Amino acid sequence: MPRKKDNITYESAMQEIKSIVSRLEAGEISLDQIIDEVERANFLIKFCQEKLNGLDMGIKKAFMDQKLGQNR
Amino acid sequence: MKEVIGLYQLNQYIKQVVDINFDQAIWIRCELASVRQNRGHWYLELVENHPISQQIVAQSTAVIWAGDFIRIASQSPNDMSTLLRQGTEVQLLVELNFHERFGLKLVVREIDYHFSLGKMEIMRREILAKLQKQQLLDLNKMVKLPLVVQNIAVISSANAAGYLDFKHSLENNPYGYQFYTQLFQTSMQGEKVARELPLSLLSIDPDRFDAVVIVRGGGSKLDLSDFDHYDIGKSIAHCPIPVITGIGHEIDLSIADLCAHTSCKTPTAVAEFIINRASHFEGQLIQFQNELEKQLLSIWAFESKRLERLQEELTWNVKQLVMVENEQLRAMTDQLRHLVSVLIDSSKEQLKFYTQMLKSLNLQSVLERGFTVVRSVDGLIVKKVGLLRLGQQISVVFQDGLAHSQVIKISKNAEKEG
Repeated sequence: MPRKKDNITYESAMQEIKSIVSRLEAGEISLDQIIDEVERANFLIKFCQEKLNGLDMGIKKAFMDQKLGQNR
Repeated sequence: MKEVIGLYQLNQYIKQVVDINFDQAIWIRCELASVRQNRGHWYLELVENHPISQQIVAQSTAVIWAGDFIRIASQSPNDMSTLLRQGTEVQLLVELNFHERFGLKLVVREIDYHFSLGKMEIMRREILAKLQKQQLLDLNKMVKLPLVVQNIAVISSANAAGYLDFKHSLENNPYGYQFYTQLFQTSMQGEKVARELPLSLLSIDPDRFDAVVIVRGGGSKLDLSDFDHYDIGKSIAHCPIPVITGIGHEIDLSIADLCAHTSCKTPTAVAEFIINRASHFEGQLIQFQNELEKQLLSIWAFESKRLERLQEELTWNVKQLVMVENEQLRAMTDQLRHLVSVLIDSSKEQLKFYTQMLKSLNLQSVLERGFTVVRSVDGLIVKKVGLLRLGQQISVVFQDGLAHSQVIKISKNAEKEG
């Protein structure tokens, strides 16, 4: 089950994804653990994608607001 | 026997001598020891001093009758009362008038004011030289004049035309500037000037005022001599705040003018000087303000452009970052998928291998118990005789090897052959 995402940052999520991939490559994850680890990785990937989408939108909105403020 | 005559007879004789020898007026040079006026007549005490000892060596009385005075004054460009002052050296055209009873009296018919002016000029130059030697001429000029002169101590006379002109010009300036003046009542004419002006200067509190202004109405060159005193020059030189004079003479400068920080021709000119100074200051302020505005606009435009560029850079950088990160995530997702797939495939293969091995291990124990296993040429185990054909090549697997055989006879439901 995904852990609570309140404490997760983009950077820590990326680090964790990289760690899962590395351990898979090195064969350090057993078959029993693989489902949980892959689920975790997917959850983190989704989290990062949402962050990136939010960033893009946020920047656009901020500049839009600033321009509107100047035009008043 | 001695000869005795009466006093009247003597005086008559003297009168005759005087009348004969001085039948016409003569010019004399002397100093005015005292001057008195009564009903328009001027009564003078004339003296001559020894050039070295300055002791009086001759003395006489003189009179300018009112009629003569009016005539002399009308012909002179100067105010005669300025000339007729104690201590002034004069040249007078006099008629000798000896009266038996009243004695000798000189009646003044003309006054040579040029001579007096010349004497005054000499005295003036001596005073100037003295002030210069004492380095007092430029002392007040070294005091800094404020950029705006607004609080002004005025030395003048309340009724003097010059003072009123000065005040009027200040109060009615075209820019609406406010000036604050305080009058220090001082005589601006005659002998009193030399005494009162220095006292007025001393009474001014330098912390309350930006400058002192000395003004009086215009007059003749002779009138200006009221301001040619050493004490006046010295007191102006020592004044701790700048002194501006407007004593109202077009051509010449008095000692007061020369010692002052600034001298103007007239009281109105003094007012204009002060007003123009304030206007110049205001002009500079406006200029600075305009310059500041211009600079601020320029800075604002520059910074706005810079900010715009930074915004564009930031937006582009964020897009790039998002793109790169998305790429990275995609790559990792693919890698993850691939690794999982590989792992599963690998595990499957392993499982298969072990299954096969297991199967093979079970067969061996069966063979050791004496059983054999029949395989077809393609390796398949023949479990039923019905699957065989005559002449078919088969292999028989024993625990220790295999024998290649050929089917020569088939018997179903295998019977023991007797």
